[in-house]
Amino acid sequence: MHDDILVTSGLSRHFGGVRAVNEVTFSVPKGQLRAIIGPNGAGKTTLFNLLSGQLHSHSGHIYFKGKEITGRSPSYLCRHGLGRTFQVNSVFLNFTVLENVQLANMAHQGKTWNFWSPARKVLVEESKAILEMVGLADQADKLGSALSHGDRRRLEIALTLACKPELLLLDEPTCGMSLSEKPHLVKLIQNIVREKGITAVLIEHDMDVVFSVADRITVMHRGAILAEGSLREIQANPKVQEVYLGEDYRAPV
Amino acid sequence: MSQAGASRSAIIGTIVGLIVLILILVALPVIAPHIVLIDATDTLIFVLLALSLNLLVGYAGMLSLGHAAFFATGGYCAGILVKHLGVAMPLAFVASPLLAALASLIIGFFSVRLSHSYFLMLSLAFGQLLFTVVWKWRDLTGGDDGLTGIMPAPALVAPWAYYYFTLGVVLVCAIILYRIGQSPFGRALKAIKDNPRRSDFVGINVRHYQLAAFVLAGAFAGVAGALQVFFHRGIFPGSAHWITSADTFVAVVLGGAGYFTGPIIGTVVFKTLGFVIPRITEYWLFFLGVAIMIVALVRPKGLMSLWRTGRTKNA
Amino acid sequence: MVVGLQLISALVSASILFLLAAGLSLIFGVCRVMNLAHGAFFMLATFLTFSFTHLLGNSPWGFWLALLLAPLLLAALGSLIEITVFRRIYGADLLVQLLPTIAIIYILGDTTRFFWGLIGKTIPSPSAFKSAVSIMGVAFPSYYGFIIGVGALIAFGLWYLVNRTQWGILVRAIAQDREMSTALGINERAIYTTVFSLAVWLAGVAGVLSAPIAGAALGADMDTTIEAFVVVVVGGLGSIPGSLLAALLIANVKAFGILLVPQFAMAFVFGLMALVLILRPTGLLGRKEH
Repeated sequence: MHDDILVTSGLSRHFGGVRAVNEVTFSVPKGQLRAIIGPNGAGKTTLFNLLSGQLHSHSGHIYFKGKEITGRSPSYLCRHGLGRTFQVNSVFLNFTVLENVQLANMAHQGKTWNFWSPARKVLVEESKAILEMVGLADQADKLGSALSHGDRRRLEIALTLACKPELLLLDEPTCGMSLSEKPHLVKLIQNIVREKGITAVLIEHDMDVVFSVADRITVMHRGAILAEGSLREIQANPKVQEVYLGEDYRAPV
Repeated sequence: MSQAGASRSAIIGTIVGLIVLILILVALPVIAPHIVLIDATDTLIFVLLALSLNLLVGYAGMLSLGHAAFFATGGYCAGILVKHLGVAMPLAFVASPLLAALASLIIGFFSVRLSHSYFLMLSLAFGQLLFTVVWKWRDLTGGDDGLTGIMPAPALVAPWAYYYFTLGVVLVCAIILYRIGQSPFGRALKAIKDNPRRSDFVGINVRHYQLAAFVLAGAFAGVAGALQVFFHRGIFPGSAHWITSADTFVAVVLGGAGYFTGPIIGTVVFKTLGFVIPRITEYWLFFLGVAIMIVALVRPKGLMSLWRTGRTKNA
Repeated sequence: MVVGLQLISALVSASILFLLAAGLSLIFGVCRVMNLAHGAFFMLATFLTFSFTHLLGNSPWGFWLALLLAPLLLAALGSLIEITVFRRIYGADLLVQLLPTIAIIYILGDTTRFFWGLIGKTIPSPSAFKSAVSIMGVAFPSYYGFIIGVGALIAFGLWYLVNRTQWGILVRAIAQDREMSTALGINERAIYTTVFSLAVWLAGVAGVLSAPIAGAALGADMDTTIEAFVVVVVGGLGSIPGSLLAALLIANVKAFGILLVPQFAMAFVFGLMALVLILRPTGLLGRKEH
């Protein structure tokens, strides 16, 4: 469907004898907030690594905005509208918050091949605007390493925003956050995504988060897609129940 | 004192210090004895070499022990152009960084795909490969006897004249390297050093930038090599040996790889110890080694960290 | 029969290279440090051999005393250096580790110069091996046979040590998984010190054996270190069998390189190192880094 911003077909990747991602075929329409859930080892992060160009697939294809991107490098994909956050925070720890976003802005606008201008003056206003959006404007001069865990998560989102993404891959964005912080980050993600029309695919273990934001849910198990559907459909799916809750559980009729 | 006041006086202090330093350097031929002038020229050349290596080590986080290869390439190319091909010095001088850049493009192309320890070892391999070629290709390089009789342009023959020439070239190169370090490109290098994966994911193709840094570093090392060959009226295989790379590496890290001025301080200290200690004892390397050991274990961030506390970035 | 003699020479070279590379590989594989000063211990051993043989005049005991004592003395020096310097840099960034090892090169280099001066020394072959031996029509000094024999013996000894002893098990455990080993309560420090001392002892033996052939000279530290690194890289970092294989390979590349293109034999060796790093960084038998 040409409405789909992300399509995979028969995507596979194995490590030795283990099929980490097994013939995954799915599609995400533009503007949707899709959650991918599944038990540990289901292949969710490996799938993300394939989608973001970090890993080569052994078979299958990936299409982004209608064009094939199988095998493209992460930096290429980033420059063409794909952003990613990681399960373990990945920001520039020795840069200040402002410098972090400046860097991302400069890279996106091709300014990082500039050998002469003082970098501290480049794209300051745009970077500050992004910091406003994620609520980090008052910490602009703090080092990345000095930020709290939750704020580092925000910074990571700010970094992806600097690359003007059309698709965001978020790997457990609320991982490690306290109960009080989580809703704020979730709200932030929701707002940004809705406001900018960004499509988001989320790996999450926290079901509350999933249930509150996801438009549609994909369930993975042992590298393959087990089920896909709306929240209700997933909750009622016996295969999903079996995988999560054991064979003896039966949903109340 | 308020924040703004404190940083303003720091800036004024730095500028005043720089002016004083430059005045001293300019006045040197007048105020200092001949031997100091020679040592100063020598030191300036190695400051440039160290600054060029720091683009790799301090900014991009690429540890190389093969940098002398590009220093030697610059020097030998200039020498060969002048001696065997009758090229005039100015042209040879301009050509050598370009040839050194070419060498670093080729070597860099194969090297930047490797990570840390492997990159280091490959730099050793290529460095010694070049050393062996330079050492053994007697017809071209003079082998063990070196390439000798390389005269600078007549106007630069006098020691004070060559000193000013060196000072000028090194100052210009230092300013360029400083600007590069402060530029968006420099930031990209620091980003790669900080978090290569995230660099990829903000759109920085890590390999491309590493190669660019490698070529730039090689080019400036080539300039240093050219300065060297016309200064000493010749060049020897030792300039390509990994011992020269190691000395340069020490100078960079001793001063502080995370600071722009680190390699400058490191080279000055290294060279000064090398000029002063031999007056007292001939075993100066021993004491240099001990001094380096102490600094390395006590202040791994280098001597500059004694002055500048806090971040080493964006110095 | 030049080929036959070249082959024997290559085996001699291989023995010495193996001893050096095995030690370097151990330090890299277990202690995770690049010991750029490894050649300095080799160089010290060559000069110590000179002193021992000189001390006892023309007595045949000079060499044997050197073979026995020099490596042990150096191993003691090695443990001292390991405890005072290397222990502080384990686990540190590569950048932080390199400077102290280079400083050791300067220190030991000048120490050697202090005790033995600038001029290279020659050491006579041990009198027990003055005669020539002939195998299949190839004549060579019996001393060569001795070196090859010692090399093979130590190779076997190392294999036994690493694979059949308690110590070997601990060493392999630490090399494979540091965190788990500490969690299991293995005394890391003691293992590191013994590994380092063993490596230096091996370099010492290499130096003593090589002294009657190559003499003792300043500058051997730098050249020897780099040759040892070539072997370690080609064989695979952390792999002792790899070092053996690579030592044989490199020694032959050098020997036959000298026959074919005498000037640039070493260029082939470094070229091989570069090629291995580019195409297969883990070397012939090395493990993939996790």
